[in-house]
This record gives sequence, C-alpha cells and structure tokens, in this order.
Amino acid sequence: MKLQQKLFIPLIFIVTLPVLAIGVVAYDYILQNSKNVLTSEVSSLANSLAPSLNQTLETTESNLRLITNSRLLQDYITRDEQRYSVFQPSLIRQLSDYQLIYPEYFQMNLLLENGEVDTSLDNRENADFSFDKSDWKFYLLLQQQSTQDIASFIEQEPSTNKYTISLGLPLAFTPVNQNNPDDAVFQWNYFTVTMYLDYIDELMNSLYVGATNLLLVTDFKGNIIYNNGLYGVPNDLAVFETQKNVENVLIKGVNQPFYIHTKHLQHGLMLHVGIPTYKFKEAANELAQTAIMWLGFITLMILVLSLAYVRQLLLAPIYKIRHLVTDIAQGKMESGIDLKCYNDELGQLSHSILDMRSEIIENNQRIETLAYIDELTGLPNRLSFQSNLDTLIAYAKRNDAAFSVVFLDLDNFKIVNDTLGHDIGDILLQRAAQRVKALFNIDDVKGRGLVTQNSPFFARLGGDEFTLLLPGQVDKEQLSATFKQLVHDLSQAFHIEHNEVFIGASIGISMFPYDGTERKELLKNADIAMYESKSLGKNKHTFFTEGIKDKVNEQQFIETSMHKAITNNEFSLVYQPRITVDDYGLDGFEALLRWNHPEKGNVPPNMFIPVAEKNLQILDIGRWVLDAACQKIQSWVSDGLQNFRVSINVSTVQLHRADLYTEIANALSKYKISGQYLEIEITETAILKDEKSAIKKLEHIKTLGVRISVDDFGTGYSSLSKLRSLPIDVLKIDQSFMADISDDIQAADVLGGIIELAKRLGLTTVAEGVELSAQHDVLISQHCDQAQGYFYAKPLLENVADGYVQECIGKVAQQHTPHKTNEAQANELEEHQ
Amino acid sequence: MRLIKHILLISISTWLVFSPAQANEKTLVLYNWENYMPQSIKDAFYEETGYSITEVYYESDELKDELIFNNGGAGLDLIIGSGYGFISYVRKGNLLAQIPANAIPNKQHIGVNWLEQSPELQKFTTPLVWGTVGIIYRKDKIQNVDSWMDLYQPDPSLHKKIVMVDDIRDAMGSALIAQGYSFNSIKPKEIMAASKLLKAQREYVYAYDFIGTEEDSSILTDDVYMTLGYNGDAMVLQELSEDIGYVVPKEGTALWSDHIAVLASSQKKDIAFQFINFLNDPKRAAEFSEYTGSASSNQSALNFMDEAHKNNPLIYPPQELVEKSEFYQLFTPRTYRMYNTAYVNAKQ
Repeated sequence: MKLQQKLFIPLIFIVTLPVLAIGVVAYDYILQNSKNVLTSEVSSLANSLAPSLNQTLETTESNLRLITNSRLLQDYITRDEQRYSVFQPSLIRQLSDYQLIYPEYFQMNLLLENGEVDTSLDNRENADFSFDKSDWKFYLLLQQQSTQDIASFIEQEPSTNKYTISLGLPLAFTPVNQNNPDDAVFQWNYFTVTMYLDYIDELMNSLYVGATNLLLVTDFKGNIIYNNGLYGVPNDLAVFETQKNVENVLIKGVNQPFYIHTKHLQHGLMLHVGIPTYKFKEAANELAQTAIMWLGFITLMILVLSLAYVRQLLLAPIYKIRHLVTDIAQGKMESGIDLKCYNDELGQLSHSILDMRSEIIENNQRIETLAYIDELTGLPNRLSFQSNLDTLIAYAKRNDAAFSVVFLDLDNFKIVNDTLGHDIGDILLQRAAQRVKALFNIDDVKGRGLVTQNSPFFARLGGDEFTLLLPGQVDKEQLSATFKQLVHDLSQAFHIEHNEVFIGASIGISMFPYDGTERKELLKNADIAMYESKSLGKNKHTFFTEGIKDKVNEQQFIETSMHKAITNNEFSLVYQPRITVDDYGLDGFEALLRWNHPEKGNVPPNMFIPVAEKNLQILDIGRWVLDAACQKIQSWVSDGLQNFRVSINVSTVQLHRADLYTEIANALSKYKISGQYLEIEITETAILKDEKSAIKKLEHIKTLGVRISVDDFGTGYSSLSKLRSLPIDVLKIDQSFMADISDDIQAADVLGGIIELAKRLGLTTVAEGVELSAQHDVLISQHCDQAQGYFYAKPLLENVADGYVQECIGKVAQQHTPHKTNEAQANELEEHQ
Repeated sequence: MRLIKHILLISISTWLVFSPAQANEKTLVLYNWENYMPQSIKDAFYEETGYSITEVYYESDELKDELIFNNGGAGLDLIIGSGYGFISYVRKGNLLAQIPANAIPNKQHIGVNWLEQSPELQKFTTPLVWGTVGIIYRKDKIQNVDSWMDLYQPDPSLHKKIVMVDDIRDAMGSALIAQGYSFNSIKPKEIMAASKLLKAQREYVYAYDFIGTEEDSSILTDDVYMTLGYNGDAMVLQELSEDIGYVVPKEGTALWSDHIAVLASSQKKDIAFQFINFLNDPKRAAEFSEYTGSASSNQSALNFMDEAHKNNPLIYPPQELVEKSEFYQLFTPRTYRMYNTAYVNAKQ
C-alpha cells in the first residue's frame, strides 16, 4: 500500500491541472455552442416526431388498400342485380368486422358515382344516416381526381367542433352486365374512411413529455389541431402560414421570442416545434456543471488505475500458471513457462504442474493404443481402419500400387440379435470374424495393427459392419472367386449354445486407383457397391462401377441410414437468431435440424423429412429435437440468459400422430425449465388438416406456457381473419413476402396491413428471410416486431450460438450499469487492461 | 365468425366443382339445411329407384343465395329452401327448372292456399312445410311472454340474456310488427322506427346469432333466457328441456314456408322430379313433417300424422293467429338497401 500512495500523489497533480485548464476554455466554447445545440435539438425533435405522427395515417392508407383490394368489395361494386338483396349483407358484415378491429374509423362509406350513399357504417352515437352525400366537399374533391390515388380531407364536425380527417379513393370498375366489351364504360365508386384527429393528442402526450418546447400541430390553413399549451395560444397564426416553406425562423410568440422549426406532415398537416430564446443560457450553465463532474470522475479513474497497477504485480504470474494448465487441458503439451522468480510458492506450484504433465503424456499413449482395438472381436476398429487406409493410400500413390476396399455387412444380424439376445449376437460376431480371418490368413493384431503393404487388413467398423483392405494388383476374377467362397463360408450355420444360427453377407468392393484415390471416395463407393448387393437380394458381392452409383436410389439410401442417425448422434441443431427489429436485440432462436451423415455429409432437411414423415421416423426425430432444444435452453438459462425462447418446428405428422402434450411436458420437467422458453412452429396446413383436433391439442399445449407460432404464413390458404379462432401467439410471415417489398410499394402496404391486423389480434409478428438492409428498413417503417434472416445472422452452430449468447448476456449487463456514459465505460475498460 | 363462414362457403363450392364423378353415378345431390331430411326417406327412395341422395348443407339463407347466384349451383340437383328466397331465383331466371306437366301427380294433396301463395313460384317450386316466427324463452326464468315488446323492451332481469337472430328480415320485420306496422313495411319512417327499437334493445343482447339446437345451446346452459326463433327450433329444444317455451306473439307474425325445387343446371331432372313426387306421397309428407317438427303443406298428410304432432299448438297455431300473419314479400333494391343500412346501424 505504501507504493500505491507514493504513486498516487504526483499522479493526481499531473492529471488534474491540465484537465482544469481545459475545463475553463471549454466553458466559453460551450456557451457559444449551446445555441446551435438547442436549435438543432428542436430540429431533431421535429424530425423524430414527424414519422410517428405520420404513422397512423400510413396505417389507414394500408387498410384502405387492403379493404378496397379485397375480392368481396371488388366483386360487389360490379354487381347490379341482387346487389342489395343478396350481396350487401356480406359486405356490411366484412366492413363491420373491420370497424370492430378499428373502432376509430367511425364512418366508412361506399359512395356511388353521383354521390349517393351505397353503404355506410357509422359507430357514433348520433350516426349520420343520410343517403345523399353529393354535397360533401370530400366527395367533390374525389370526383375531380382521375387516378386511383388516396386523397384526404380535414374538416370540423359541426356538432362537437372536433377535427376529423377523411381518407378515400376512387374505385374504377366495369359493370358486369356490359355485354359488349367494346362498349365497356368505366364507372366510378368512392370508398372513404373518416376518423377523429384527436388521436394526435394521445400520441403527442405519450411520445413527448418535454417541459420546455412549444409543440403545435396545425392544418395548412393554420387551424390549431394540437397545442401542448406551455406558452398559451400563439397570437399570430398568420406567421405559421408564411412558414409553409421555411424550416427555421425566429418569431414573436405570446410573451417572448421563439425559435420555431416547421415540418410538413402527410395529408396537409404541419408540425411546429419551438423553444424560447432564453433557454440558450440555461443550457450552457448546465453543460458547465457537467464538465466539473467530469473532472471529479477523471480523478477517480486515476485512483482506480494505480490500484490496478499494484494488483498486476501479483496477478501476472498467476495468469501464466493458469495458461499452462489451460494448455495441458487442451492437449498442448509442449508449451513452457517463464516466471521471474522460481523460489516462491508460485514457482513450486509450476514445477508440480510440469511433473503432472509428464504423467499425463504417458497415460495418453497407453489409452491411444487401446483406442484402436475393438473390444468384442479383438479386431482393429474404425479409427484404426481409417488411419491404415490413409497410410495405404499414401503408399499406393508413391509406388503406383493398387488395392481393394471391401465392405462386408452381415445380413439378418439384427433379427438374430432381437430374437436370441445380445449375448448370442456378440458370440456370432466373434465367430463370423474368425471365419473371415481364417479365409484370408489374418493373424491376431496387437496395438494399432498397422497394415503391411502386401498382407490383408481386417477391421470391424461397428455393429455388423466389417471391412477388408486387400493390397496388391487387382484381378477381378480371382477376387470374385475369393468373395464367393467368403459368402459361402458365412452362410454356413453357426452353432451357438444349442442354437443353429444362419446369416448371410453382403459385400461391396471399390478399388484404388480406379474407383477413387481419396479415402472418402473409396469408402463411399464401397458402401454403394455393398448396398447394391443388398438390393440385389443379399448374399452377394458387387464391384463398384459408375453405373451402380447412378443406380443407387437416393431415397432408399436416406431411408436406410436414417434408422441409425439418432443413435449415432448424426443429428444436430443449429440456431438462427430471431432479432427484435427496432433495436437489433436478441429475442430468441429458431432451432433448425441438421443431419450430418458420416459418408454423405450434410443432408438437407427437404431430402429426408418427407421420407421420415412417410415411415413415421419423424416421431423419433421430433422427440430428439425437442429434447436437444430443451437441453440447450437449460444450459442458456443457467448461463444467465433471460427473456428468450427457442422455437422448434413441428410437422403435421407429429401434431396429429404423437402425444405432443405429454412429450413436451416430460421434456420440460426433465430439464426443469419453464414452458415460456419454448415455442413450437406449425404450418397453416398442419392446422387445417384436422382443424378441430389440432386446435384442441394446441390449446392443451398452451397450458404449459409454451408459445405457438404459425410458420410460413401467407403460403397456405387460410386468411388473416381465420387466425382469430386459432390458439396462436406468433405469426411468422413467409419469406416470399420479403422478396417483393423492397421494390414494390403496394406489396409493402399489404405487408403493413397484415402486420397491423396481426397486432390487433394480439399476435407477435416475425418476418422471415430478411436479406437486405432495404427490407429491414421497410420492416421498421411497418412496425414488424421481430425478424430473422441472413441480414442479421445465419443459422449458428451450437458452439457459435453459445458465444453469441455470451455476448448478449454481456451487453445486457452493461446496460444495467447505472449513471455512466458509454465513453466513461470505455475508458474504464481500457485502464483495466 | 362471419368471415369463417365465407371460407366455408368457398370450400363448399370448391367441393362441388371438383367432384365431377358425382354426375355419372346414380346419385342426386340435395342442397339442404343440416338434419332436414330423414334417412328413412332417402333409403326408401334408393330401394325404389336405385338412386341415392347425397346432401350438401348450408348454414344460412344468405350463404345459400351467394353460392347459387355465383355459380348457378353447378353440381347440385335439388334444393330445399324458403319460398321467399326462391322468388328471387325465379326472377333472375335460368336458375330453377320449370316443372313439366304431370311430373308431380302428388301435387293434388297440397293445400291450395300454399300452392297459390305466389303465382311466380307455382311453375317452379313445390311447398313442403310451413311454420311461424316467434319467441323462444325459458319458462322457469321469465313468465307472461305474449307480445313482441317482451322481446324488444324486456324485463330488466334479461340484461345480456337475449340472443337476436342474425337475419335482417326477421329482426327488422318483427320489430315492425311490435310497433303495429306491417312485417313487410316499405315506409322509411317505419323502418327507421324499427331500427331505433333494435338499437335500444342492444344492451339486453348477449349475441346476434342463430340459437343452437344441440345440448350445448346457450339457452340450455343458462347463458340466455330468450331469443327470436322459429317454431321448428323450439320443438328440438323442447325435447332437450321441459323449461323451453314458445309463443307466437299476439300482434301476429311472419309465416315461413319451405319449398323444394330442381336446379336448371341438373343433368338428372326427370329423376329429381320423381323424388319430389315421392316426397309428396301423403305418408312420406307426414313423416317429413314429423321429422322436421313443422306443419305440412300437404293436406292429405294429416291423415297419417301422429295425434300429438297434429294437435301441437306449436306446430299448428290457432287459426286466428295464422290469419293475422303475413307471408314474406320481395322488395325493390332501394328498400333492401334501406333495410340493410337500418339494420347495420342498429347493431353498431
């Protein structure tokens, strides 16, 4: 501690004096700049309020398009006969449904070309029943319009003096009974929606609670629609009119000069944001106070720095020892350690660790030897086989030699195992191996069983699969005779514990260098040849040819290997982050299934899922996915991640064939996690297949707290209104919608309509397949809740996702540190390092 | 709910379009309400002719009309529905097949007043059964119900306990009768008065819907005590509970009558008319009347009816009430528009 004090006193002088000097100069500078800052704040406030004020009207535009583009309305306006007796009730019901969802649209009108009211819905207490609106100014305005653009009109409601805004558009159509298309005459109908402008009051009160700024919304004639009332009513409204094309100007307000920024909103509305000029000086003083606080803060930082330096003296050697131990744990046995002092306790500790390392190296070598032998048969195992094959390939390449890779699979072994038991099965494998060894004169191997360049090598790959490496020039006729003998030998009866057991063998052969010069290729081709033997009726051998390869039915291959995929751990999950659109925050992950087949590599889901659904393997796979996802959730929850969810895809077959509720309940209790972390994704078609029972099952599942989302929404048949009857929480909008929106404004409008309506139904919206920043911008403007896609993140491997999660936890922790600016935090971090 | 019904409607028409195989088989397709044709009659017809009857159901008159007007009912052979609705089919033309002379000998059994109910219908449709519109209520919860005003200006205990049938003509028409006007009024003042009466009734209304007739019907589960309904529905509900009452209000009511007709687009008109004749055999007309719980238009059927059925005032109401009541009449488009507007604004 003495050393620390000695360092601390001079440091405090060296640093605080210059900081003090800078503070004095800065105050003057701040005073000069506060005016600029405040006026630009006014501008940025105006710019930030404007989009929110525009949003309600944009939503209304979207809804107008949605309603007027609907098939029902488009049909309706062409009707003549039965228009009112048959078709109008349906139209009224649909509009009435809309009004239930959007009660603020207090009047919706369909007007005929002459201004007569065709259909009118009015939910006000004193509803307007008139059948003639030919003198309505908005009708006259729409009539003059020749395109199908949306027009608007602001007026005062006479009975209440409240301001209303009407939006509407002309609808062109050709009447149905126009028999001769050459005489086709366009007729016009008009559709309008009217709402009160007092939503602006609510919006402004919720958006901005500033105590200093003047806020006004007017129409372009200067009628005041909203006033936050801080500075009374401006006495010179004419000023606002002259400001139509001016952004910033100094004007006289009620009591003092104002600085005003005017912003043009949509549909003739204007926003004015102002600040009285005396606020400039106040702000400068505030900033000066902040500067003094900074001075104190920097002094504090120096204290922290010097403390950290002293601690470094002790911590450094400990870090070095820790690195050594970590290296050993990771198998890096060669790294050394350099401590300044070897005589203290830390030095002795490092010596002990080095001794332990030597022990570990010896043990590892012993284990490695065992790792190359198959316990049951005493044959070399898969690992040994692979390294031997590599050695042989390298040898053959150097010496232009040839050899054969032989796959041998015992037919019917599984039946023996199932009917007579594993003990008999194990003995059978040993006996079969002995017969092969006898035929090829193979001695027992010890240790790694290295192949020699001219004697056969025999290994067990696992289960009932064996393999042979036969070095030497290839003579197919001679080999054929040998394999016929082998098949014959293996098809003779085995006498095991009073049982007479019969099996067969399917053999496939690939040859170096003719059928491949790389390990992977040779193995794959031998495997293909073996499956050809199987498909030709077993008890056969087959030499690989290109012809066979083409003949191998992809689907059959998938089907056979899928049976082992779960037990061999070939499935894995990758996690695609789901992002909160407006702040890029992490909402959760969609877990996607990957099948990494040992020979074929990555098998895309669209190749094996249909097969799995057909043979009901999907039920096992689904259970595995559920279990793996829950295990992952548990691990992230214990890492400290909060408020997230992992969604898994559930197929039609699972929903209708499996007892999904019990499976989910078991998985949740197995990992002791709450259902809120889990979400299941179902396609529309899965629900529609047997709607009643699907709804019942989903409602049952929801009692676990599990959320339910509709996947690929928009590709199936169901409509938005259908969603009202389904027990779902989340709507995942199909990626096909994304493709359109970046360059098609109407498509963006329809997307906006879907999002808005989904929100009214209380559903969270998720956009899928976002790839471009332009698409992201549209999602922001349409207020989509969440999104996923390559623009944000690709699906992540499990360990990458872990890292991603750690990063997110870190971010959240930072946000919770109180009262520190980002800059201060950055400084603190630098000094710690 | 309504939008979902639209989807249903679309799926029905898709089913019709995509089942051409039906046309070649020995099958007649009947467009009908659910539970409105006894299996025994269908079986008997099959035994007699070798033709089986397949039914497609509709949920409301409006959905039925939309389907017929949209594609002419392609794929259908027979249709059962309200006579009032069929008038608009006849006026549209080319929707219903004209009845050939002597195709339905059993017509002689049908009451003349029912046959001549509408001169326009006579050539195209055959009346089957008729009934009344009235008030279905819970006898154990509310007493002394005998006027339409008991429904429109109800006792305070009926707050949120009334279901109003979601049918513009029946709701508006009974509100008109309640105030002493005609069920078929075309006077704007009277129509607006009916709208006001409906609007004032809103706070008592639990739902605008058709009352269920299964065991989970809201009037049986105590959610609802009163509803505007048809005597046929009342019959079904009475079988489920003794507490169900039905009254034709003293002011009079509307008489509905259901008819059967052959679609003009049918490929098997001859056998379809044979079915109509088969159905009007007095014995079968009695069976149909008993099955549907409604009064038969077939006079001779009375001879084969169960005494309890024949003497049930719910099915055959007192003659003076029948005389006070009106048939449904067709309006001009403007009047329909006025009814629609008045109704939607009453419900808002």
